[in-house]
Amino acid sequence: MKNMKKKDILFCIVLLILPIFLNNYWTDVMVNIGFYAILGLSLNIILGYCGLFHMGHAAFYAIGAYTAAILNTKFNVPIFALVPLGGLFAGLLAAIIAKPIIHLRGDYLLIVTIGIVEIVRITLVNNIFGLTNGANGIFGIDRPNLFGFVIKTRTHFYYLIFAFAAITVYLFYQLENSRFGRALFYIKEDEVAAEGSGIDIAKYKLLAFVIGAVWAGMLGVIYSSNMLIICPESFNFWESVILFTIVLIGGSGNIKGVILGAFLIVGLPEIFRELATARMLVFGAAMIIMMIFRPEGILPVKRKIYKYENFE
Amino acid sequence: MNLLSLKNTSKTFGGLIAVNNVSFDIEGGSIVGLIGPNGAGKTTTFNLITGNYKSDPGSEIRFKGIDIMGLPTHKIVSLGIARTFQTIRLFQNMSVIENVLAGRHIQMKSGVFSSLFHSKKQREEERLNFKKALQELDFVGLKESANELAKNLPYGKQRLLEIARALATEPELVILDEPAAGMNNQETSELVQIIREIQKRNITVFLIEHDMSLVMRVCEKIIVVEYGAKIAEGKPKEIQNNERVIKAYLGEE
Repeated sequence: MKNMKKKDILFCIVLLILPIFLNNYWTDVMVNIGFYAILGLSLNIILGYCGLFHMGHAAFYAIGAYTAAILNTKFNVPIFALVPLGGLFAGLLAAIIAKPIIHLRGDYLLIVTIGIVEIVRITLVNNIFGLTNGANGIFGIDRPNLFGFVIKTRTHFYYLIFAFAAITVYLFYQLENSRFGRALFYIKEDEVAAEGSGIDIAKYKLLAFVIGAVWAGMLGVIYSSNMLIICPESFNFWESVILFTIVLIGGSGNIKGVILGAFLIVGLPEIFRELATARMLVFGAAMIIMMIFRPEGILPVKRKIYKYENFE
Repeated sequence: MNLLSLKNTSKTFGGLIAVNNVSFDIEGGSIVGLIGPNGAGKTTTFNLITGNYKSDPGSEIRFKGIDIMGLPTHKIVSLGIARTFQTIRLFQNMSVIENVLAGRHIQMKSGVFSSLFHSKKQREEERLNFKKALQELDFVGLKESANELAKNLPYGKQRLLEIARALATEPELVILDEPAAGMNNQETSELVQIIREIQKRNITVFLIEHDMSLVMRVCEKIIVVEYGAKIAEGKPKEIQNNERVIKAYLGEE
């Protein structure tokens, strides 16, 4: 908190008062950006910090959302009580499926994670154990209820999601500058040297996966209560690609970069909606140019400068 | 008791015998050199000790009496063997102090939750380990560069940084793979000084080096390998006069 710069504080204030000036449509766009920003940050732990090419993040998001939808519609469990549970289930799934594939490198891991997101989607479509209601999805999910206050308008959700984002940014910033966060960066930089320095790389890769999944799962719960209806198509491969792009374009490993990425990838197409089909063309071209001239992302990782008095 | 002992250790890659039935002991507190012509299997031997490669069946590698064959590298590091690499392997885009902190990893305990929430204990641990990391940087003379990126250091200093990172794990045995490669005379003499200082800290040094003047100056014992097999072992003087060694290096008339 002490390390916040003036422009960061300004950015927070703008976010805080922004809904006053926005109509319902644009507030909803902002809510959407918030969702993607948090999802991007959770993927950033796996892809940005640890350097694992994971393109199946929507699978964990889906687990959280379906956990909420099923338990809420069948047993009336309140949404906020389901947030940790959604995270738990997504984390468990991540632990189970990541364990055998964690040693895979680069593109090999990428292919397997694409498989994961497809398997999860098809499982949901096939109405597994009669729980997921197939391709129609589940509807009738409750709104979140905060001590009697029902969160239902766009503006309510705006504040809910950006509060969630603020907590996420704060915690992940702490994570970056800790033994755990550094271990992930070491693995991304050089696996052999990391292992040779005594870091159990298999364990840390798995933990990165689990934390990223827990966060996506928790957010999935809120997503289901935002949409009220969820279906398997909300968690398809394309969603995973968008998340992957947000992290890479924004600046993988950099929290601010990922947030910027969410604004660009989700927000810009909305602004240029009048251009209809041409906007995707422009968008694609912009992305190619980016990857050629700034492959490390718009905001690359900047390591913390340690002051001597911090540790003397 | 010997700190490290290899018995009949071999490693084959397909049909190639990289290390052939090598046995030797390293006494605690000594400085031992491993020399031999290019491709003799020196680095492979190091990789067998540190667990980067798995030795062939029938081999035996013991550290402090513990059988370390088949253990993963990070376990071997936590038992007390640290190493540097022949081709420099630093975390290039991270700061110098963070590179040394990698070595502190096994001496620290904080897990995911204390890392997320920065508990009081975690902050205390961070402070303490920064201090230790800084001491190691000071030891190799890099304290002033603590906040520079590792990749911006000159070559010789990068080698020293690798040594600092290895020492930060608080090892009992440190394995240096060609520490003087790419260093000029001035830097090499500083390195000799550092290696002697390491010994004074009661850390055993085992090194591969092609710079013979360095090897003869600092090593108390030298092991010579050729085509994967040990051909000689002894004090520097003995090695210098050993006919097989001379043949291996200079060829036969």
